[in-house]
Amino acid sequence: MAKHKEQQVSTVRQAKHGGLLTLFFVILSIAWIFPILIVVLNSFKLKAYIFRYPFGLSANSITDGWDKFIQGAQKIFCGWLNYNNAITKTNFWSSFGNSLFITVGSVVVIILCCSMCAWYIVRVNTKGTKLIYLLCLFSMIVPFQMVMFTLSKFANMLRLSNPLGIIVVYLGFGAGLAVFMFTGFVKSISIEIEEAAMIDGCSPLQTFFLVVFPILKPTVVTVAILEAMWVWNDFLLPSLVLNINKYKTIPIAIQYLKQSHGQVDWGAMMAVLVLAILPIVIFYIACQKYIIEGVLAGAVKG
Amino acid sequence: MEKGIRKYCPIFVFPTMIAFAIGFIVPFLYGIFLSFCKFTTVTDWTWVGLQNYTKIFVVNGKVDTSFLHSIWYTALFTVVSVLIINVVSFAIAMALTKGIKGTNLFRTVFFLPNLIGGIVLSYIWLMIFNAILQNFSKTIVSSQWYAFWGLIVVVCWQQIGYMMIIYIAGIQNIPGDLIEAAKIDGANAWQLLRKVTLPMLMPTITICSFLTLTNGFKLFDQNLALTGGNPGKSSQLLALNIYDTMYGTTGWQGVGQAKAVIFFILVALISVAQNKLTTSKEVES
Amino acid sequence: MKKKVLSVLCACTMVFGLAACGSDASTSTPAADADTSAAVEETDAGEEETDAGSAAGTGSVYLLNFKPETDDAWQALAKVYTEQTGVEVNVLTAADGQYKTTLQSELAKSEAPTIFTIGSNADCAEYANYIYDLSDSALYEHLTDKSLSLSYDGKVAAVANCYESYGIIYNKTILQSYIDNYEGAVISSIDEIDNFETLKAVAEDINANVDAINEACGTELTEAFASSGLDSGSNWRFSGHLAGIALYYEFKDAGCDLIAGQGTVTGDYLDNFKAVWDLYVSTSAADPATLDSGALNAEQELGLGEAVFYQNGDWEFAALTNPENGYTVTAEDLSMMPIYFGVDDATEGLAVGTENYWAVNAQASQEDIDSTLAFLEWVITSDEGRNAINKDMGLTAPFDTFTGDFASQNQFAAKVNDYAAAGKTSVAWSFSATPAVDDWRADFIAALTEYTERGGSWDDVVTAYVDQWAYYWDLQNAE
Repeated sequence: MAKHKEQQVSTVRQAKHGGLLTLFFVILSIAWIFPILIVVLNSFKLKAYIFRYPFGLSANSITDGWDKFIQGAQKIFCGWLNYNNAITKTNFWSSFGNSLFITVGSVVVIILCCSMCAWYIVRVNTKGTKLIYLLCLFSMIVPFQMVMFTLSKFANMLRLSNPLGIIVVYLGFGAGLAVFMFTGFVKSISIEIEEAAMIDGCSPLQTFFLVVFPILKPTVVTVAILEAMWVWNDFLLPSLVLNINKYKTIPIAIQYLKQSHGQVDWGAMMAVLVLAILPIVIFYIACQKYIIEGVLAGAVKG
Repeated sequence: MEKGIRKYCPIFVFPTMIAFAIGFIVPFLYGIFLSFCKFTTVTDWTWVGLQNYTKIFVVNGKVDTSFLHSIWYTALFTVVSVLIINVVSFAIAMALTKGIKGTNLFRTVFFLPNLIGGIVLSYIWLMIFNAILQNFSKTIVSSQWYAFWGLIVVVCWQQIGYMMIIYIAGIQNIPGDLIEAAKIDGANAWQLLRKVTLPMLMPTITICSFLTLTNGFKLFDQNLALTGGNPGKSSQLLALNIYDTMYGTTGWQGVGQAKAVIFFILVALISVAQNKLTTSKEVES
Repeated sequence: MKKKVLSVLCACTMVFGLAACGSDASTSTPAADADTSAAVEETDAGEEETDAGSAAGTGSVYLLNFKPETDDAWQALAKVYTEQTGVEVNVLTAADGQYKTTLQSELAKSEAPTIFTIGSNADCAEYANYIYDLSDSALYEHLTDKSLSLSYDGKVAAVANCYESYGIIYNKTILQSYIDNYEGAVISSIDEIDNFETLKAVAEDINANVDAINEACGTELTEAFASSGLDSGSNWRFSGHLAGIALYYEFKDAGCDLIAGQGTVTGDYLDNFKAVWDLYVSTSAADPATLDSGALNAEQELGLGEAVFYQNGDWEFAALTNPENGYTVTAEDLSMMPIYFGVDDATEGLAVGTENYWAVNAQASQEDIDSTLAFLEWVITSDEGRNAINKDMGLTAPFDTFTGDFASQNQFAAKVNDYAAAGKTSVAWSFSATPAVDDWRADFIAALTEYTERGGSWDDVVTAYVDQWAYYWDLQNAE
C-alpha cells in the first residue's frame, strides 16, 4: 500500500523537475565517467600508441576519409592482446582468488565485529568506551608510513603472513573507520525498540541480532562497500604483511607490470585494471539494489 | 539496560579490540618509540633522543622550511577539498534521493572513480590535464598552484562519489514521517532542508567531514603520481614529504618517523576539534 | 565491573606494546630474534632439513630480487636448484619503486633475505650490520672487473650481478637512408658521427629538414632527438646518466674513486653538459616549456620511427624489439653510440656500470650463508644458471664464466665490446658516489627545469650541481 503511494508521489515529482534534472545528470555523468572510458578504450590499444593517441580512436583523422580512418584504427587497436598478456603475466586468476578471499573474509569479519563493538560503545557510556572510540579516531589519522614497518614485523612475529592472518590485521586496521561509521548511525536509532526487546526477555545478543542489526542494514551495506573497496584496492599493507610469493593480490600483481628503469606495460596495465574493477562494480551494483530495498522495507513498516 | 549489556563486553568488544591491538595499537606505540631512534630496520636501532625532531627543522646547521611549507600547503589543500567535496556530494545525494529517472545508474557512475586505485587514475588525469594545458604551453607542475588545483580536481572527482553514498545512507535514515509532518505543517523546501534534513543529518556530516579531513591530510598516491611534489618540492603534501624523508635520504628513517609523529599530533588536534564542533550540533533522536 | 574489564584490556594492550618493544629492544641479533618469534608462536616451521649434497649446504636461501621483469626467470631457476640439490630457495621480487620498503620490512622478519641487492656506497653504510665479507667467495673470484664491487670497512661488501650500458640509441636504417637518399645530408657515412660537433650538425640538419627528408626517404620523422622528458619517469636519464658523464670526467681529473666519491664537485664539465642538453631540446619536436608534463614518451617516438636519436640504455633493447608493443623498429634498425661529450670524443666509449650489487646477509645463520654462497656460485657457473641470467633475464653478467654461448644476447650490450675493441674507454658510472642520490638529482632537475622551461639562469643549474652535492655529502656523512 505504502509502496504504491511512494511511487505515485515520485511520479508526480518526476513530471515536475525530473526532465531537467535528469538531463543535467546525464551530462555530468558522461563527463564524470570520461577518464574511466579512457582506461577501457586504451586497454585495447597497442602499447606503442597509448601515449601517442590517448583519446583518439584512430591514427588518422576522420576527415581523411572513412577508409583511412578505419585503417588507422586497425593500426592502433590490438583486440584482446593486452587482456591475454595481462592475465598470463600477472597470473590473474590466482591473484583474483586471493583478493576475493581476503576481501570477502575481511569485510564479513569487520562488519560483524565492528557493528557489535560500535553498538556496545554507544549504549554503554563509560570512560572506557570513550577511550575506544578515541583510539578508533586516532587509527584513521595515523599516516600508514608511520606504522608500516612495525606492523609488518609484528604481523610476522605472530605468523599472520597468510590470507587468514591478514584478515585479522585488516580487522584491526579497518576497525577505526567501521566503528566510527557504525557509532554514527547507531546514535540515530531510537533506543525504545531495544528496551522493549530487552523487557520482553531478549538477551543483548538476541537484541542486537534480531532488532538492531536489521535496522542497521543500509549502514551495513554502506560500510561493506567502503571496506571492500579499500581492501580490494589496498597495495602497501598486503605487500608488507603477506608472503607475496605465495599470495599475490591483484594490486600487488599489477605492480609487477612495471619494470626497473621506468618501463611500464601500459596496455596490460589498463587491461588488468578493467578486469580488477569489474568484480567490485558488480558488487556495488548488487549492494545498491539492497540499499534501496532496505529503505523501501523501512517505508512499508513506517 | 546498560548493565545487562555490560556483561557481554567480551563478546561485543574483545574480538575487535584484540585485532585492533595487533593491527594498530602495538605498531603505533612502537612507531612512536622508533621516532626517538636511528634505525635501519625495526629491530636494528640505537636510541638518539630528540635528535630526529631537531633534524626536521635544522639541517646541516641551517633552518629547513620544507616541512613547514608542506604543513601549510596541506592545510590549505585540506580545507578547500573538504568544503568542495562535502557541498557537492551533499547536493548530489539530495538530488539522487528524489527518485528521478536513472537514479541507480547515476549513483553508480559517480561512485565508479573510487574503484580504481589513486596511482593509475592520476596518470589518466595527467593525460587529460596535459592535453588541455599544452595549448597554453603549461604543465600541471608549472607552478605549485597548477599542481594544487590539479590535485583538487582529482581528489574531488574520486571522493565525491564516496561521500555521496554516505550522505544517501544518512538521508534515507531520516524517518519519512518526520518529513511528512513538516510538509503538513506547511514547510517549504528551504525550511525543510534547514530545519529537518540538516539537523537530522548532523551525524552523517560529522562522519563525512571527518573522513574528507583525514583523507586530505593523508593524501599520498595522487600526490606522488600526479605532481611528484614538483616543481622543486613545492607541491609536496605532508605524507609525501614524510615518505621522501624516509626513503630519499639515507639513514633518515628516524626523522621521517618523527615527522609522522608531529603530523599525527597535528591532525589529531584538528580532527578532535572538528568532531567536537559538529557533534555538538547533532540532535538526539 | 565494566571498568575493571576495560582496565585489564588496556593493561593487556600496553603489555602487548611493551612486550613488542621490549623484546626487540634487547635483541638486535637474529638468533635472539628467532627466539622471540618462537616464543610468541610455537608453530615455527623452522628450516626444512634436507639430505642434499654437502656442497649445496644444509641451510636455505632467500634472495630478494630488485628487477621485477626478471621475477619469472628467478622463480624457475630457484625451482631447478631445489630439484637438483634439495636446498630450499625462496625468491622474492620487490615491486617497482617498493624495493627499499620491502628490504627494510623483510630484513626485520625472522626469515630475512640471505641475499639482497644494494646500489651504492651509502647503502653499504646503511646496511653495515647486514653485510657479509665476500672477498673469499666464488662470486668475487669470478668477477672479471674487480671494480664492479663495493667495498666497505675493509670488506668486499657486495658484488655486481649484472652491468648495463647507456649511450645514444639511434635508428641506423633511417640514418643510412638519410645519407643515401637525402641530397643535403651533412655526412656521407654513419661512422663519421664520432664526435659531438658532427652529431650536432646531423641532428640539427635532420630536425630542420624533417619534411624534405620524409619525402626523400619515405620516413615518418618528426624530430631528430626523441623528447627529453623532465618528469620523474624520464628525468633520471639526465640527472643520473648525462650528468654522470660530467662527473666521470671531473673525477678522472681529480683522480677520485668513482665508487667512493668525494665531498665536493666543481662542475668543470657542465658547459659540455649544457651543449648536449641544448642539442637534445632544440632538435626535438617537444615543446621545451612542457617537458615535465609526463605526457611524453620518448621510447615510443623512437620505436615508431618518429625520432632518430634517443639517449637511454641497453635495457631498452627488449622493450623496443618486443613485437607485442607494436613498434615499427626492428633489431636490425637499432644501434647505440657513446654520448659524445666534447671532452675526449676520440676515446670515449659507452657508459658501463651497474646499480645492482648482491650483498649476503651477515646476520643469517652460518648454514644459510654457506648455502647461499653455494647457490650463487651455481647460478654463475652452471648451464642452467647462466642460461637464465643471459637468455631469460637478458642481463649482461660481469663474470668470467659468461663466455661463448653465454655472451650477452643484447645487441646494445654487444656494442660495449665493439667500442672497447676499437680502443675506446668505457665511461664508468658515478651513481654510487652521489650523496643522497634521489635528493641531489631532484634538486638538479628542479634547476634544469627552471632553465629549460621558464628561462631560469644556467648559473642556478651549476649552483644546484655544486652546492647541493656538498650539502648532501655533509648530511650523509654527518654522523
